[in-house]
Amino acid sequence: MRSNNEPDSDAEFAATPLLSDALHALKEPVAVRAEWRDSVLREIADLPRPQTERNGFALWRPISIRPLYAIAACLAAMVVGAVAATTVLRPSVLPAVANGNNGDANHGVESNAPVQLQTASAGHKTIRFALVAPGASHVSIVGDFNGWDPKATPMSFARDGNTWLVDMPLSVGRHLYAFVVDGDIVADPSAARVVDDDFGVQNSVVLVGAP
Amino acid sequence: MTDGPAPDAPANVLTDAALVRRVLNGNSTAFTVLVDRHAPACLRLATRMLQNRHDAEDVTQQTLLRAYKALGKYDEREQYRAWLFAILLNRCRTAAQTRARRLHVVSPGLDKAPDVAVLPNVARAELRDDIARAIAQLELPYREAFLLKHVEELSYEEMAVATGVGVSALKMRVKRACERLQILLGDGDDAKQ
Amino acid sequence: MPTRFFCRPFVALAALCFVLPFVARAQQSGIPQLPVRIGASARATIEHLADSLRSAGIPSDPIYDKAAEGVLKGADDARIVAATRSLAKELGAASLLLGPGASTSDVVSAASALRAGVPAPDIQRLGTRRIKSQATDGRLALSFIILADFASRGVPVDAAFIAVDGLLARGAGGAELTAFRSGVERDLLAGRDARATLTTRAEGVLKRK
Repeated sequence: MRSNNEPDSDAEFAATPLLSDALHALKEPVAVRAEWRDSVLREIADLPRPQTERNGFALWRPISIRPLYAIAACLAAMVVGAVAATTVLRPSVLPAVANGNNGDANHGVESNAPVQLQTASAGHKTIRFALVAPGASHVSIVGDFNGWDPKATPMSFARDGNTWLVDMPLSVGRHLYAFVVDGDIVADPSAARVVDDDFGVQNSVVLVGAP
Repeated sequence: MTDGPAPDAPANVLTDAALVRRVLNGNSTAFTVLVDRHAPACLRLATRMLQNRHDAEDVTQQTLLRAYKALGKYDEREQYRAWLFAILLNRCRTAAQTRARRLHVVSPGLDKAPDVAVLPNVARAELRDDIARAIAQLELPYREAFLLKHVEELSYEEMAVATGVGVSALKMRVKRACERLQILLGDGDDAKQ
Repeated sequence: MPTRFFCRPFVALAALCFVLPFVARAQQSGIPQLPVRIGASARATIEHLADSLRSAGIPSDPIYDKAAEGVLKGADDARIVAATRSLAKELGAASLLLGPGASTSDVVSAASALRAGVPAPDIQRLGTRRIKSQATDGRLALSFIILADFASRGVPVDAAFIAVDGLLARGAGGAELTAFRSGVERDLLAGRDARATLTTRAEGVLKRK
């Protein structure tokens, strides 16, 4: 038997085309169903907040405190609680659809799917992207057409007060993209196709048709 | 490396360890980023391990819930992915044992490959069946080692964290799994011998 | 490490003087820049990959896009290198399969088709069709895009290839290919059988031609 320390024994495996094909097939992403993701996140939301073991110990350790300080602490806790409740209960800054709350991304939000408006120039089409993101303060689009630069293509707020829009001239072909909502990357919930990418964050796909 | 991330850094650009810290500090939405970042790989590994999409979703869901509950025990010196895979592999092993009857049905000679919807993009149906059968024929430890190394592309050190098996033993398992698959996939005549 | 680095301004200045001419040259030559966050080792690897592609006449811009995407998504250097290496392999394979004279969009879209699971022989066969017809109107790239799209949606790739290859063989243009894809997409959303709709839609498009 050969030594198991051979440096390139792993690389040899994919040396033949058939095995390379096999490996390629095994590496194909398995799509994450929106319903499944939602149910996982719902279950997690119902769980108590995880804590480090040290924090847990500190929380449960008996402490002694003077009565006046205790009253002051209670008042402070009430104020903090009120502020926190206001913050938590305000409308989410993330788009509702991006959280997958509307189930299948292909249904119900078709009006926000990328729309081909016109031919921008030879081999280019103008595509309108839209994202419903009430409460967001800054939304931009990133993709293979702008070097994934979140500052390159800011979107503007539409009159309805909920939707962010941008018109992009894109070359005919297949483009990967995502939205950046207040710094968070969000796949387009109304895109017909979402693929897994190399970095574990989903992209949306827009196909720009031929002339 | 670099200094720690700014406190107001967007969740998507944070490392896994930084996201874990955020979750432990009370920002539960940071865990959503971790789920989105790692669920696809977990689903793929579980699907390839169990060769059944529904089972894979079940064990991945259990894994993510378990990971959330146990987040306080995560050691930042480990890769989060390897730590998560460790939980996942345990779940897969349990699922494989309890569903052994179903897995045993997966054998060469079946007309239909095992739930090969798990490999939707394989080029040829014939190759797809061959791969599913070949993977199914690998014993679980070899299947694990092979998938972690060649499909999930973990380092041997990460694999050691994920499996609890030593690096040299893992190298041996990967090597043997490759040899076996080469026989099963690479040369039909050899496979029949 | 950054702290120690900034503690030595002369070293930093010297390094800057060394790097600036290269940066300026790269900008002048129109070569995209890698994001600054990528470390030196990973940077060198990615630049080497891109150089190798360029020297072989293969488009290297997607490599820079991939690296930028990785940085945006918070991936570590190792993961970014792995992703760019994988992409470089696919671009190289696509170029090899299509043969000399393939356009940038042909190569890039063929690489995405390979990634989506379209088999290499199918890519090669469509490439041969391009060489025979000397087509340069983007139909080939569009065909790869359609195949990649179908493959990623779970449509049987063998049937999709037969349909698209048949359309090209019978002279379908960009408009017909686009209509074919849209029709199949609608049928799939309506829950129709993928193989059946591929055949029906291909025939329908050719009849209207």
